Amino acid sequence: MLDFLLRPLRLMAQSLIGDDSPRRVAWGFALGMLAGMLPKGNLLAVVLGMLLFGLQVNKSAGLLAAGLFSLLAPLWDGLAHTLGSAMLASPTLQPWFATLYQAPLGRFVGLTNTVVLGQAAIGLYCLYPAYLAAWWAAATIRPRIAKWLLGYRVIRWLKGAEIGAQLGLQS
Amino acid sequence: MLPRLCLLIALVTTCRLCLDGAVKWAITSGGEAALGAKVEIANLDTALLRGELTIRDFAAANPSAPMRNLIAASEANLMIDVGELCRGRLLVTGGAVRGIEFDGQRTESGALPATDDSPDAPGPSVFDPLVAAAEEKGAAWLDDVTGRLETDLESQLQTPRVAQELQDRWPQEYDAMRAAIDDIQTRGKQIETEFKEAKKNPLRNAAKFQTLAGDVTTLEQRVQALQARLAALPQQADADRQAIDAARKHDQEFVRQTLQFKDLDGDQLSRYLLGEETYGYVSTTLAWVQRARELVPSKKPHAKPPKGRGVEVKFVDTPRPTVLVKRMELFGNARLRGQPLELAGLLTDAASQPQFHSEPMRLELAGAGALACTLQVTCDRRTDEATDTLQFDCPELPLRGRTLGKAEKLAVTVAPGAASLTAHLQLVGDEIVGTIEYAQPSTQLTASAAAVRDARLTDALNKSLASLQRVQATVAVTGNVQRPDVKLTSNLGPDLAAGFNQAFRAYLTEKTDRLVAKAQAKVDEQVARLDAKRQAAQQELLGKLGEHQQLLAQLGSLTGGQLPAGVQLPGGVVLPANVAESAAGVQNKAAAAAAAKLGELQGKFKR
Repeated sequence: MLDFLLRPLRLMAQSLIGDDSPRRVAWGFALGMLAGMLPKGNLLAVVLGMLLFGLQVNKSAGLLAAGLFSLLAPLWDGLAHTLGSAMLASPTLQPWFATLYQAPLGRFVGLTNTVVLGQAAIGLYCLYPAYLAAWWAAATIRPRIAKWLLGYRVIRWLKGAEIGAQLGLQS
Repeated sequence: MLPRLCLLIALVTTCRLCLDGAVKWAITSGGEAALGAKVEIANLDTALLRGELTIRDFAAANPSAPMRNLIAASEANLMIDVGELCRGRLLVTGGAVRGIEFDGQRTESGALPATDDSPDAPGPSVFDPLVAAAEEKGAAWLDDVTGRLETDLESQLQTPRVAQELQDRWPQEYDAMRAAIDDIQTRGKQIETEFKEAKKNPLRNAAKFQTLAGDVTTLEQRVQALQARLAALPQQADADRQAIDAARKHDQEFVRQTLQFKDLDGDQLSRYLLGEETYGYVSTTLAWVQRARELVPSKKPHAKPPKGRGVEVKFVDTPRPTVLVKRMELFGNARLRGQPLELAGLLTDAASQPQFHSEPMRLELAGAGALACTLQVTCDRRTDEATDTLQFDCPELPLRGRTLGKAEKLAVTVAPGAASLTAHLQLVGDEIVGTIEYAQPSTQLTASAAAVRDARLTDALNKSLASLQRVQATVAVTGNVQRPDVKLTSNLGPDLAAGFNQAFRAYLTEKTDRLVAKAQAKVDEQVARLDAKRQAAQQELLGKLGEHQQLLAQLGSLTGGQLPAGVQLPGGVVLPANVAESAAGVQNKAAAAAAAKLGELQGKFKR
């Protein structure tokens, strides 16, 4: 029970003081950002979530990004709707969307929704910059923050709990 | 890798375990929302890979009768197109529903928890005024006939009353004449006595003679008056005879008018007898039609507010219904009056958005066994106006014996038998047009008119119905489905009305003749009695006049030759030359006149 309650804190601490490489942290953050920006309830969000959990990326950073951008993304839904509408209305893309829509499970993908498509486009557009920013932060800022945080007993205890959890021990 | 595989297995297992419950919940909640009553499924199995859905022990409660099922089925096997399911459409390509049971009993109420928008209690049927009007008109006709039959006509006839007046008046007349004759006789005897006294001393009683002469003159005048009275008797008898004739004519007209009744209208009688039953069937049928139309999805779907974020753009050339039952076989068993009834049918092209489907929904049901019948229903929502047709044929519909009309007034009992029933209804928008035809080719009808308490009339009615062995009725329905116009035509009303009119007319003619003959016989008896009295009175009056004649003769003999002829009495009165002769002449003249008049009167009465 305690493990369940402490897991969010542990994830956050791990994302900051973990031993993952900056590359994994950056990919985790980028995928989490992309998944967080999309409206839920479509196969695209599900696939991104599965990628986040299935790939060897920093899940803590991914979940942190997903939660953060789930809160922030509705702020630019209007822009996403405009962008998605323009793409869906594009004669060039419409056959592709029609094929996708009429394919099995196609309408559940969500790419025919204006906001999903717009947020996906924005997310993809921001994916590499976010990856670079996250890589730089993980490589430059995270060691300093980790050193500072490890000075606190509670952080050390959380880290120990995480190690214990990874070894199959319950707190 | 292993945790991910475990996670995937767990995910698939969860989906598989939850799928049946989710589908079951979707069907029951959707059905309850559409029907307004409980929809229950005991067991549901899905096999997505094979595209099969099996439902066992399905029951949908009747919202109007919560303790009965609208429809129940023991098993339903549906073949689902998985490819279309992945495209978001539920396409049932085939399947069968077995063990269908309509209107079955429930062990617990099928009513949903009460909500504020629950339908109000059903109000009066739109046909209630028609039924009431038909019953009112039919009952009014019968009440009128009954009232006329039960009127005490005999007491209102004038002929017996006139005859009775004559019977009362004539004896008074004869009594008065008899009294006058008696008075003349008495007075004559007085004159005789006084004359005899005066005769003893004629000279001293000269004045007396003068008085007696005056009395004789007075007596003569009275005899003349009596003669005039007797002379007037024939005229009086003639007037009385005319009064009797006038009263007889009046009575005949009165009886004819009183017992005359307006012919019963056949169509009106049809509505009276068949109205309640027919309007009940039509009302029930229309209620079911409207209920079914509410269940069939309307052409214009309800505008749903957008859910979530963004707008879903549908990339389809032609919109297609989300749920489509392409073909479904239906099988059911039931028992009708102890006999097994097997139902088999086919449902095709039932769609959730029928306006997007190229074919209208069709339902064909056929019954075999206890009831051979066919039902064909077509619901077309492809055009702007919803078009529905219903065709029902039942060549041999077993019917129990039943009573048409009101037992306390006028009723016709129809013996049990088989009838053919055909209904064809078409609804375009809110307009309905159609006919329902009913024919019972061979039956036996028995009439009962409890309001008319006369067994002879009931017998006459049943005799008139003996030749009527076929009942046929056609109901034409037009107008708005909410308030349709219903026209009922049947051979029962006109044929029955003709029989009734004939029976009533024969009965009333016989009653009229009997009444008039009875009154005539009574008048004849009274006139005969009056004639006998008149003859007796005539004999009596003639006898008394004869006595009076003798009296005057005696008076003449007493005065004969003893009074000086043409003597001048004091006061200037001159006695007749021969008093006796004069008196006898007067008497004879009066008697002869009286006899002649009485004879004339007798002759008139005899006529």
